[in-house]
Amino acid sequence: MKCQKAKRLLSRYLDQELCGPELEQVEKHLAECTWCREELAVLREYDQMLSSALSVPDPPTFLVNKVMAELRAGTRGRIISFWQRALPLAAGVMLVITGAWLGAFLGRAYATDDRSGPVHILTVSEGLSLEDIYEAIAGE
Amino acid sequence: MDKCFATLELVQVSEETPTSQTVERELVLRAQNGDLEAFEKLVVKYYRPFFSYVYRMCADYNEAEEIVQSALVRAWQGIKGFQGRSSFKTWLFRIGTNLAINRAARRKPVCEIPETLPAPESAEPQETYRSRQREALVRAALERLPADQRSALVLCVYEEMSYEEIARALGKTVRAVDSLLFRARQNLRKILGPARDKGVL
Repeated sequence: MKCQKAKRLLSRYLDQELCGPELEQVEKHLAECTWCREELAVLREYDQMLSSALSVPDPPTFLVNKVMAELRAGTRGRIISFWQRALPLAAGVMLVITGAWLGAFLGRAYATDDRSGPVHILTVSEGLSLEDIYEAIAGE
Repeated sequence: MDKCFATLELVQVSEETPTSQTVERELVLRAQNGDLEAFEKLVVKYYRPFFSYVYRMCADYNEAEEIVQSALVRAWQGIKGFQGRSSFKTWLFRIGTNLAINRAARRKPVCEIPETLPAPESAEPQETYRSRQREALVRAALERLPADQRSALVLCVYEEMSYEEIARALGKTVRAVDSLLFRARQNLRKILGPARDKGVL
């Protein structure tokens, strides 16, 4: 095994994730190659530096109790099943589709008897064209 | 290579005893049926290592607290979706990883690694000062790593997870975990190399 290949495997070797023929080849290479042994030693040194240099403060003692109290009170974190997520979404999608279909299919405006309103919209069913409607609105 | 990883998977099934695995499975089933007490027992069991992991990911106590809080709520919300393909711990760590990585993406870029700390406080023993200096440098170096490399390295070095467990915690393949760890270690060396050569580390 050449150094380039062995070097690539040193990380897995350090983590004891090599086995079988690959493990044998790496161990054989390490027995013969000073440079790769030094590389492995440096990798180990950095890992040890990581694990010894970094302290972690104690976690907050209240946090679990706080979260559990909220979950018990039901103020958040209700278990949501698949159908509880899916049904509102499906209903919303259906509403949008229905609204769009109605709008496209009907395509009509509704008359209002009250001509004092700011906009008078005339029904298509009265046989008026769009141009007539626009003129009627513009005329006001 | 794949065969080797598969063999390792059989050997490294779990560090826990069969009895504790059974107890945990029972707690998960009860939690999935809405038993909050069972969920609390699971959370209490993994709370300390989980907080430690999240803290090492974000290096800020308040942020770690917020992430852990969100993760626990999400774990409860999604407990019915937990299928037991990994351990509860790995699944919980995955939720924490996703939240921590999202936070990291929104954070400001990290400043350069300080080569030295401010001078030691007057009554501070030399060794304490050197410890603080090492910690500051290592913490800054970890922060400089891409979030996925950082999480793989933290899970490997501090939690001593196998590549298989790390893969499940990160939602990646074992091959990808191998690549992440290789690059994380290379990058760490590049970042900390100058300080090490000066004898600071």
